[in-house]
Amino acid sequence: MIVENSINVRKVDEKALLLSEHLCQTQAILDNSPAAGTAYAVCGISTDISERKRAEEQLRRAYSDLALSEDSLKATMQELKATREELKVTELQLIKAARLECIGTLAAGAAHEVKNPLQTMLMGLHYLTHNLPADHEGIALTLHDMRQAVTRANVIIRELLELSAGTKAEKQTEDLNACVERSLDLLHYELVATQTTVVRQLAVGLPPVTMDRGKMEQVFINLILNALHAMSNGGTLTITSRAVQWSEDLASQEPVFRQFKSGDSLAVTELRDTGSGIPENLLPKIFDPFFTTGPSGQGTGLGLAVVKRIVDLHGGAISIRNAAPGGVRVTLVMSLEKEKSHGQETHLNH
Amino acid sequence: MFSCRECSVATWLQDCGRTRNLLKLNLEQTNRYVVRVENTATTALASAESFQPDLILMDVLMPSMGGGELAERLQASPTLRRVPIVFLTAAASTEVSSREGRIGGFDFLAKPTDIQEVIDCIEKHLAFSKKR
Repeated sequence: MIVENSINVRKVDEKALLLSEHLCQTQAILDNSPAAGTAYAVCGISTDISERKRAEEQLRRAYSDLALSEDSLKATMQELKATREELKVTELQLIKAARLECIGTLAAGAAHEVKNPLQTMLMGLHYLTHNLPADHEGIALTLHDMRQAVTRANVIIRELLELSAGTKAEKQTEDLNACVERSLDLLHYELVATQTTVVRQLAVGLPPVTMDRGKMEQVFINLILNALHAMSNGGTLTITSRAVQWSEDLASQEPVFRQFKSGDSLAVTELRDTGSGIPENLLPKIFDPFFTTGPSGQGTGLGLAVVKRIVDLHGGAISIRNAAPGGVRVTLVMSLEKEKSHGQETHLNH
Repeated sequence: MFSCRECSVATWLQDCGRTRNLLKLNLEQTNRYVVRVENTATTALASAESFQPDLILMDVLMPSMGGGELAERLQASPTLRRVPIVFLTAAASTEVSSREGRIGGFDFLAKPTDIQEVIDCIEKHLAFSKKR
């Protein structure tokens, strides 16, 4: 029972206050004369405030619930926002994938038709070159240029086909370092011609990786060629490899690790060049087909699209960033063979 | 399709007439090969029986009969079964060619191929045939 009184009733018949079972508010008039000493009358309005108190309590609870709901709503809004962003990214990826598939289908269909005329041109150019009358330097140069053009057309067709062959990896347990070395061997002439210094920091005893050797060689060849194009006046290409265990710290520092999870053993290969780097605003587009930062006619714009396709096919991840003090740093992450990776220590071989 | 004889190369079918003729010209101007060209798979079979080539070079895709079927028929012939067959195809890339080197048990060259690659391939088979 809650009684709210505006007076101090010193002596009063309690029954007067307990007029009903309800709570009441009593206002009383007292005779405050010293002679009296006792209340002689109670006059007032008694108000039942039980409902008001209950309502106040309900309101307080409602406010508290509302505050909780507001927090929860804010969290849900954040989640929604994040989901929307993810959806947007997924949608863009789907559009890209659909575009790639379209290019691939088109390329595969056109390749046969294009390769046959290229074959005819190559045979024809050889015949003309062989039967060229003496002192026709201009014609010889023209034929040479035409031959170069045929070779370039063939490279474009080949890369388009590689782009379309994204689902045909023949994976085996392979040594990633050996794959890097073979790619460097295949590009020996280009490395010498561009006066590039190669620094290898490959981890000794790197556990094996399940991969399509040919396709991964293509990845490294394309990445190395890009580095060489960026260092046409010479430079240093540093290639490192190491084994790491996935951690949240790693994922928070480098987004390229985010698609992996706790317990994953990973092989990380990095390629750093000392070229001029890539303008920051162009970085989000570098894996798009036909996107190139090289001079017109130098690159096909398909090299990195092929690289991305092959890395995706292996469940790996790749990031390309500008590195301080200059040049580009490529980070390639692939899963290591699980059984064999445990307990294996890796060392750097300088 | 092409076939070759020791110190001579005979060539046959291809699905592109212009390439076939240019390949013949390029091979013959080396003065090391005699080349015979055929236009269809059916005439190629009869031609091979009479010409007895040292090597047969042909497309995978040809009118009237596929390269695979023609290869089987050629190998079924008692007089031709030892003749090496090399495919020239637009369906495979040079990388695949250098890595795998074979389609259905036969060597192949990926289009567009340089004439020197064709010559190297012919010479490799001629050298191997001599050893046998």
